[in-house]
Amino acid sequence: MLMDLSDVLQALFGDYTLRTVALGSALLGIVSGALGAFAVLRRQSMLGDAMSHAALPGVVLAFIVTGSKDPLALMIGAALAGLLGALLVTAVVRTTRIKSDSALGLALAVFFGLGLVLLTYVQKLPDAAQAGLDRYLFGQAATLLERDVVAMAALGMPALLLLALFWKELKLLTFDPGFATSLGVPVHLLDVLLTSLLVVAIVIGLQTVGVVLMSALIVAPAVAARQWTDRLGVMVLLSGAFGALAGVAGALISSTAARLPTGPIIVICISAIVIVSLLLAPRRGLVWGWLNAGGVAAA
Amino acid sequence: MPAALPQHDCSWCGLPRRPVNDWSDAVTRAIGQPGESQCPSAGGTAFFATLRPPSRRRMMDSGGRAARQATLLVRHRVRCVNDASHTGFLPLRQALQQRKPCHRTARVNHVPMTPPIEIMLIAVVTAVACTLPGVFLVLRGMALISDAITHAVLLGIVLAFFVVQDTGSPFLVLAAAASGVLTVVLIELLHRTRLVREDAAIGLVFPLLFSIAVILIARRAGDTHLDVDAVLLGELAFAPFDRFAPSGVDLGPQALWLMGGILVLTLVLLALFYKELKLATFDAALALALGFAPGVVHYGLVGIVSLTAVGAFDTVGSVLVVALMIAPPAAAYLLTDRLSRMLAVSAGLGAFAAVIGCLVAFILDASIAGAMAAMAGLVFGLAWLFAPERGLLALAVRRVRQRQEFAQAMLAVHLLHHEATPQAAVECQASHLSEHLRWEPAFVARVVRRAEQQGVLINRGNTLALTDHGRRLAMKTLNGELA
Repeated sequence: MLMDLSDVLQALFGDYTLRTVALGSALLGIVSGALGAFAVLRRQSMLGDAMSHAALPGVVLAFIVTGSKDPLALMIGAALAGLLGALLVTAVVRTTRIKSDSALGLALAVFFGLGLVLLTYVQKLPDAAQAGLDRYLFGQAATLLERDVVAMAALGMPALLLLALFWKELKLLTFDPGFATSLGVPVHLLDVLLTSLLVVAIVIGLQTVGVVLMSALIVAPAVAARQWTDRLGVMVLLSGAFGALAGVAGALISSTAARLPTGPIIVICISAIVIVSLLLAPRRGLVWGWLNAGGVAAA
Repeated sequence: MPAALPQHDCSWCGLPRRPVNDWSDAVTRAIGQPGESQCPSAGGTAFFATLRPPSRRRMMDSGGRAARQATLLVRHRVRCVNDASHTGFLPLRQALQQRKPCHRTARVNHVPMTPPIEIMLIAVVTAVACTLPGVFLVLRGMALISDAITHAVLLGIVLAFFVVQDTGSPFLVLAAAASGVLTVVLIELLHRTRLVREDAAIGLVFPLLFSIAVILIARRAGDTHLDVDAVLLGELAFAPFDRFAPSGVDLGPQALWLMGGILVLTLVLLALFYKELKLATFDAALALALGFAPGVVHYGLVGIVSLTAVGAFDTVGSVLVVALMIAPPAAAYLLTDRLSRMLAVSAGLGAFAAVIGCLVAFILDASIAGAMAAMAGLVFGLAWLFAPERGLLALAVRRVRQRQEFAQAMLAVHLLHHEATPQAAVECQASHLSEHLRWEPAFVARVVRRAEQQGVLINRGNTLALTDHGRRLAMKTLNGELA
């Protein structure tokens, strides 16, 4: 057992590919976990889902425009498309009687459809350079290169920095937007800022987890962290930690065998953390409730 | 009686099964080594040669998807040779472009409808079957539940397939529909613990179920035609190749019968329970009080959505079912206020999006399902902009008109107030208004011109005088009779 562990550690730090993959997944977990906490608290869990699907046409369009698979260019394209999707959702909800769930579903599916059209269209071009774009569907952590991780860090670190910088305002926005407005805090701008930061988290995950399962990485770490604490600061830190843990574990497991797609494995890891948290977290855990109920019934 | 395929390890090429390490292996296995003929149709290599060079290169380049296409095409070719009832194999590209069909054998019974028409027919039936339950999803605020169901259905399909080992089994459809219902139950259970909000519960449950399914598929790739890509994307272009031919008579594509059946079932249920659905959708409390059991209606709807999602799975894939379920009803919601009309309009819009989507996909040679979803989105976008009462354009026009009417009323009141007073000469000058009412001069000119056109006032040189009609308008406004 000890042997196994040291083998794993050896592989983790010794093997270049694995190190890159683990680093990338950890980075992704931290950023999406920390920002996901806000999304979940603000009841925008599914916005992440919609935006990650909406990013697909952005990826392909960025490829068509730049003609290269430079990760930063693709990520920027994805971010713009995701943001456009989020803005459209807000606009539809504001100007029509359509409810937000329909607006989200609409943006999600239509952008994804558009992305598929572009993707299949690009794949039919005689130029072979487009090979591999379809990994954005499910993600392939194994193909992460150092430059990808650098690009992820270049986007993710500023996002976390902004989060820290506007911590007080974002906290206020999350828990009492009405009060924030009355204090003269630019609520609308902060809203856009938070959405943009969420888009950054999503874009970072596209290569590793893919557009389809990215939403789980936004929602699940935050839900797990919520069970353990009532404080926002602790929740965000825990959420980032859970995300990183699941990312690294998922990347490692999927590298142990062929044909284990990374995205789904990471999702299963983070779901396991959620289930444990829901059952066992102190005070809120379901198990304690069942035990108590049993005790009451017996007494 | 069609001759059965020889029973080997592999049902179509007779080779022992071996693990597929990468796409090139899969392609090789499907189409045979150059110079060899491994498939019963002896057509593997020949098939590869019939592809145009870009397609050939694409197949070499793009990995799993192309490999799957090759596998499917060869399989259909084999089935065509071995099955007298089969209507003949058309290479995809030729079929879509309606070039000369390549009937490989003389044993073709009859020439089927041309595939593009069949594809469109399947697309239309699928779209309509999706939009009908979609109307209720949109009205009941359950749109994202459909997203969850369409993803989770995959797990049901995969698990059932592992049990019955047959993709054509009706058991598969039932198991998948059941897994859709189960997903909703899980989401509600999770929500009911009060530890997780509903939107987060949705976001937790379906990615997990979907991930399990994807991993199961990936682990057994090569054994099934359930390929990871196919799961999401579906491929309508292949639908016409799966024929529904009981007792050897070709009755058209299987997908058409499946989706048609689901559509008929939906229509029958809709007709039977229209009243209950309507009541439970618009006033669940009243429905409960009247003893209509909104819970049953809710799960009935969930069941139908699951069934439709399964049916549409092979042809349009999981994400795009969501597009067809939500976009046309959302557009119809902006166009009409009656439930019956909303159902009809969304079915029409769905069918329209399907047809246009197919045409666009044929032209671009791109994903048909994706194009249908994009067109459904476009239809919604047009409705959003141009809907007669609720569109953005109508809203803008109404806002301008209201502003205009309000200004006119203000002007009339202002003139009435100063009429026949010593200040009238000053206050009733058009040039004074911009100062007094703080209006832009251009706006003053516009308001005065319109008011004059409508007979509210008379413009004598620079002095404005109310007409009788204008006086009535001002009085009405002062009495609060003007909305």
